[in-house]
Amino acid sequence: MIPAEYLQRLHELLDGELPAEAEEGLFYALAANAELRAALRQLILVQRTLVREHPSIPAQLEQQLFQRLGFAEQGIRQRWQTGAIAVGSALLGFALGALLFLRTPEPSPSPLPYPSPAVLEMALPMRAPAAPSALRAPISAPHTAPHPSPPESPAITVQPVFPREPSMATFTTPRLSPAELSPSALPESAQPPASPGSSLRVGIRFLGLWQQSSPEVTLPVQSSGVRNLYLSVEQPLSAAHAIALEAGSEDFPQVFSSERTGLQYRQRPTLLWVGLAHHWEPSVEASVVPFLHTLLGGTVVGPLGKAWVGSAIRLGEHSRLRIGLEGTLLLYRFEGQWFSTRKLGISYGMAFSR
Amino acid sequence: MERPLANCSDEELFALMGSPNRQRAEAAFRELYARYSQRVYSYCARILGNRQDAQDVFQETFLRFWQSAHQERTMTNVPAFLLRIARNLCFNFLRDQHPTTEFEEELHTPPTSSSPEHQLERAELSTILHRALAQLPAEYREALVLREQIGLSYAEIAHIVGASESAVKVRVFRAKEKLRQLLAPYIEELQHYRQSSSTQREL
Repeated sequence: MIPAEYLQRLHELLDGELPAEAEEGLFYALAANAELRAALRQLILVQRTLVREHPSIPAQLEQQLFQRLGFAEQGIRQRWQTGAIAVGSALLGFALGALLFLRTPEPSPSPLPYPSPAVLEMALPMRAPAAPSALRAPISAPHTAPHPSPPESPAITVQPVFPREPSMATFTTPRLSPAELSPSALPESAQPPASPGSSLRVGIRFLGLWQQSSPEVTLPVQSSGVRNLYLSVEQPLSAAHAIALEAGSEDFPQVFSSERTGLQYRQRPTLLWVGLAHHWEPSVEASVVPFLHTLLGGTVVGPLGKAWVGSAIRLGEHSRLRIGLEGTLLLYRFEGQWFSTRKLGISYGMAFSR
Repeated sequence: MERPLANCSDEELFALMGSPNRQRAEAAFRELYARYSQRVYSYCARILGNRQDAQDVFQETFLRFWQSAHQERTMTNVPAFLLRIARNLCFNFLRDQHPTTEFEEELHTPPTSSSPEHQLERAELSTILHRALAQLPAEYREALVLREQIGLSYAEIAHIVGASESAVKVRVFRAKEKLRQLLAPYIEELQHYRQSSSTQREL
């Protein structure tokens, strides 16, 4: 038989509310009474079982509740937000591309850097016609005379400067001064076309079709801003190689521990990064070409490296869609120790050139 | 799930829930839901002992909580307020003489490295414990759940149930004592079984 007083004391002991002056008496009683010790064991087991268990909330219960409250489902909303960001960014990119395209002068059909005689033949009559005396000047004489003002009378009697007979074409082209030969002195329509490898490219990229990270952290992302979005400006170095300045924002699952305290920390911050990239994409006439993109950069917590390999699909003369597998390595330090986050995912983006 | 308002206090979130900006109100509600839904669900499940009833009362609790934010109200203790709503609903439900049946629900148990044998024992013990819990008077069961499962202090429990602290202590003591008596034969059997198994292993 257990005295009621000691039973009460046992409950207080397990509850952390046993007065200090009552401890000695209880422990003596425990040592002497096997039934009391059994009661203690039973109470410990009951308490452990009670504390340990929590019924889990069914997922559909949460959905039902939010539906009853008229809330949009979180996952759907997030997908909408991501979709809206993607579409918005794509439209922005398209507008930028279109703007660059419209501002680009009409390229000359000639593959030569300077206009061909045929082009000159069409271009030069637009210049003011020379005075009859100048027209009679020897063809070989330097063409240094200032441009005369247009004639008062109709120039119907003036001989054509460049007769259209083929036999004369090569002889009638006047010699131009070095100043006139410079590209800037040429009419706009006769400007040399931009080399395909020399124009700046702007790019926008998303990471999110699929993503896996090591270490895995299931905690929510510590940011509500834009993430998994990169922007880049590429400067071609040659037909196949380019360097790029890139910036982006993405979340990095992190697990690191403290040797001092023995605690392990888990977090999933969104970090901004900036880096310099090299892009290789062969300059071949094909609608789909492979590419390799490597980047070295940094975040506020440590250095970062990326490699992106995939295919570029030409959508037009000035735009291409790139899609590929992207690997990321982030290194960071905590209490003098290095830790890393590795990510693998599929990213896609658009690149626009002038 | 992202929690943009994770740094806000309960009181700030409750005030936000009543704001005319629907999106902010919704985000505030979601944050408070993330913080306290498990407590409310545990309470409903243990008090009612039936999954469907617990889910109905759980939903109704949060619906009323949402409505209450749009009324003029000063909030000082959100979890206590939520549990008081849940308590009123649960006791109304029990008063209307809905039969209490066994709660068959998967339980959140922390992963352990114990043997399958021990896990089986624990599962069995859980089942017996829940049956025993259902046999307790509702007031005792409530005090025990709030104290041991939800982890409230006696003062907080007293505030929620509208009784004195000493009365709450007595209820918790009696509930535990009742559970111990109900479980004693099983626990002793378990002890004997463990002792004999270890002796056999030693031999």
